[in-house]
Amino acid sequence: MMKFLRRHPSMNAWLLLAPALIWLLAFFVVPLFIVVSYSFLERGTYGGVVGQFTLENIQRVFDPLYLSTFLRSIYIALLTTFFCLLIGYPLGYFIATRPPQRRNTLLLALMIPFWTNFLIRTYAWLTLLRTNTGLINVSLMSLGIIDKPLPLFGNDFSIVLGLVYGWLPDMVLPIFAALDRLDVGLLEAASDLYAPGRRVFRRVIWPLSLPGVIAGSMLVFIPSLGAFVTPAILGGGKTLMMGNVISNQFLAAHDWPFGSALSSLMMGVMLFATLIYFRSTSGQARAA
Amino acid sequence: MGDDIGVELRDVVKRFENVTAVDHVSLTIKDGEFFSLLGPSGCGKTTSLRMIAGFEMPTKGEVFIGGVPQGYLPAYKRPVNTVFQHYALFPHMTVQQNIAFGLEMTRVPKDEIKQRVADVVELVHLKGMERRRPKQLSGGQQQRVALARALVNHPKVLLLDEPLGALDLKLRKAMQVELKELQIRVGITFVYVTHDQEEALTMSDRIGVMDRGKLLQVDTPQMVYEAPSTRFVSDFIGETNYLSGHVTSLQGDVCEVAVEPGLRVWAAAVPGVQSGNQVSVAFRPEKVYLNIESNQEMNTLSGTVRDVVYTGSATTYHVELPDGSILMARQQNFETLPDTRFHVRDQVEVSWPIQASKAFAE
Amino acid sequence: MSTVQQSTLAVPKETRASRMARYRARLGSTALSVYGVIGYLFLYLPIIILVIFSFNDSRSTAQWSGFSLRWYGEMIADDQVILALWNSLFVAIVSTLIATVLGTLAALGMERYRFRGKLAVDALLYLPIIIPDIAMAIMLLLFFNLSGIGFTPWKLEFIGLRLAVPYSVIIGHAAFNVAFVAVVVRARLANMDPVLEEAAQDLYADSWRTFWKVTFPMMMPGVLGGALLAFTLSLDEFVITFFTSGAGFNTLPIRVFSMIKKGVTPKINAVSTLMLAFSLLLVLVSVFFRKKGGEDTPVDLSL
Repeated sequence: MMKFLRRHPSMNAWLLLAPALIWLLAFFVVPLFIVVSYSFLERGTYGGVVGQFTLENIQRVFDPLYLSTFLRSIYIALLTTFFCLLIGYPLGYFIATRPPQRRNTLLLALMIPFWTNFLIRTYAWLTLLRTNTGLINVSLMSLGIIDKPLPLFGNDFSIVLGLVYGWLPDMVLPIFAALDRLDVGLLEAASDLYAPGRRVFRRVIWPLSLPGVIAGSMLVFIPSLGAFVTPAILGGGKTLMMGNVISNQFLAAHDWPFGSALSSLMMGVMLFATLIYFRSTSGQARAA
Repeated sequence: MGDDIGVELRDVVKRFENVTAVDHVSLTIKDGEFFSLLGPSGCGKTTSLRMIAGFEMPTKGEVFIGGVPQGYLPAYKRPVNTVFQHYALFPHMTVQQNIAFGLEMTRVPKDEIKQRVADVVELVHLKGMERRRPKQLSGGQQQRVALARALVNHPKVLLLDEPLGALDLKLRKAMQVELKELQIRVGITFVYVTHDQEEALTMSDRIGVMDRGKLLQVDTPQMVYEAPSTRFVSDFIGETNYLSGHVTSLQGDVCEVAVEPGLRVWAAAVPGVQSGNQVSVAFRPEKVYLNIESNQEMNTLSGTVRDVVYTGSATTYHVELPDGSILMARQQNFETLPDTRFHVRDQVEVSWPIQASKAFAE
Repeated sequence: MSTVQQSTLAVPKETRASRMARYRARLGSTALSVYGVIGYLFLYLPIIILVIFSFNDSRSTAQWSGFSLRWYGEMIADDQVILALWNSLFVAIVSTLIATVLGTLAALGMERYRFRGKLAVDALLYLPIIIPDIAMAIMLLLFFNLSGIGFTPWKLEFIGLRLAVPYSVIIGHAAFNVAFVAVVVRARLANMDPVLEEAAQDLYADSWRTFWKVTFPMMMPGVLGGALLAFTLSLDEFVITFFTSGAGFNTLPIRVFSMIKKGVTPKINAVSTLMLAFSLLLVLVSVFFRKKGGEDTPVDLSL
């Protein structure tokens, strides 16, 4: 046995991988397969499915009612990614240009929200944004700055804000990592002397930090697209995203095949985005 | 130094994918010898060492240690120990634990381990450092721990892979002397891999020069320096003057080479050189004299001094020959505060012994 | 031998333009600092306000009316919350154990060997990380429904409490955590110098002892880091638990969610503050281990 393993070292690898692979096969790959195949089956009356092949669920996904929700979700996810980038890039740049000791403290300070429960962070905004009882409107009104509550809650604004807040660290970290590898501190010092800073940024720093930007954008876009908690809490029961529609199919409408079809579509979009990501990063690697 | 064989490589070949790292190398290292494998990076010296250690297995051929063929024996079953390039000390263990590691693995009794570690710590001057961790040591101290960790096992052969490469110049020089003394004291065969020719010349009993997977010459430092067998060897070790031309006549082991029309020199011919061959005549700068009484045993040419480089113990004159090639002549500075004997633009006669120059086929 | 004369650096003479440029640069760097402060305020203010109002004397989470610990008292008196807390801890411990063992083995297999099909395995190991949790939740919900395993609760006594934890939740948590542990441990292994293992072999340690004496102790900070991450993620997990737990089973996040749905009170702030304190503790422990493991950054950038 030992001799056999020494001759065939790749068997060792498979032995080590086997427990995790079997686990993921049973509890990830098989479930994935079930979801995809449910998309093509007819619904049962009280949930579940009837073993009858149909394309109806797939067609219904493209029903304007659902398609508009889906496009809205993509729109919100893109908006979230955009604002995360807008806030996150300078923040990553700020951290990367601090002296090492301070940089570590700042990174740690970034990680604490990251390790804090997402639900709690979303709830924190709920207490701030609620229309009549939220801290912001209550304070502004008692100070007499406004006399009518601002529409801060239960709309695209509150959802995007909640998502940006939730996923901002995911944007900052990869951008920081990219800038850190570049040693922007040094580049900045150089630009102080000779080249105008803006040109150094546009010609050198930005293009070289692009892989971090792309990675961060992926890390924000994908979970935003599948957001469930944020719209459920900050959407005020009015604004729905894809995740809520899917969950309704299982928890309320008992239409499992259609819910499966919707989540298959979502995973499809996600997979597509990931493929684009890998293509662009391998392109970057080749260019470097 | 006995006549027993320490290590032998018999027609060893190592291929990685389609790169041949070691190409039919045969080599015998005597027991108790300080042997250096010298060559530029990528020449196959480290791969050879790793095959002796058992980290790589030869594609063809056989490695013998103490006369015993090693076959596919893994590293942990071979009676050799290695001092790695960047020491490879275990960062999670103290100096004591690092050194005792090999003894613990071979299940040496606890008391004996204690004694042997203490002895070797004394030997490499590390007393008082036993409880430290590698990170708390200087480069030189880490180097000593690596040595101690290997020596404590009393290996038949100690393999050293550029062990001084990471040290600064001064420390390196001191460690060279110390290593050599240590080797004589413990009497273990050292196989030493380096790209530093000076290091190899200083410490070794014999040197094997490698290039592109081939073993070019195995000889004492003196012979490798004075009688290099190929142009590569003479080029790699020390500084060399070259004149190229073709052989016009051959008399015994001496040949006449026409460098330019009207410019002829004599040189010792490397075996295989024939009349009409294109050759390089090579000779060392310190063998070149300026303006001395010449004789039959010497080549003499005239030229112009173009540069004078003073380096303390010696001065090197760059002399331009009529054909435009430059020769270096190194003169020891015997006198205190000498006025350099020659100046730029001086006309000089350049002479060197015929036996000190070699003609290599190009 | 080239001339080294030019090495004296030409100091540019300060012109009006260069002075302007310097002012602009200083202005830029001040602006960046201000921006950084604002960025961190954005991250922390909501959390700080949340904590402050957990000590509010009234029912409001927007108007301060005095310091009080009453909401913490109510939290402790709430059996549902306490039970949910233990459920959370139990699920986190068990799923972390599973994920750490499986993920560490997988990381070793991936980092130490070359074999055919590695790319596919790589993709499979990353998928649970990138797939949105809602999609994973639906997958597991259907799987447990169809296979019939999982929803049956694991009944046990845990620190004096009678728990009934559905296997489905533990399995669900371990399913994504395996991937996270594998990534963290792989990063650690990738940073480890393979020469150290050769050195052990050179000192007569066979593969088995090389692993236990050198590889394992050196990868330990990575394993602990991975386990801590898995533990934290499991404690925080909401969506998958929500869909795979069946009725009547609460983890702390599930409990908080249903409390939010019923109405906002500072009691939720109190529970949140408790969870926050726990997360903080875990971060500090992980930073401690990373420092001890000789990593130069306090946080793992490999994810």
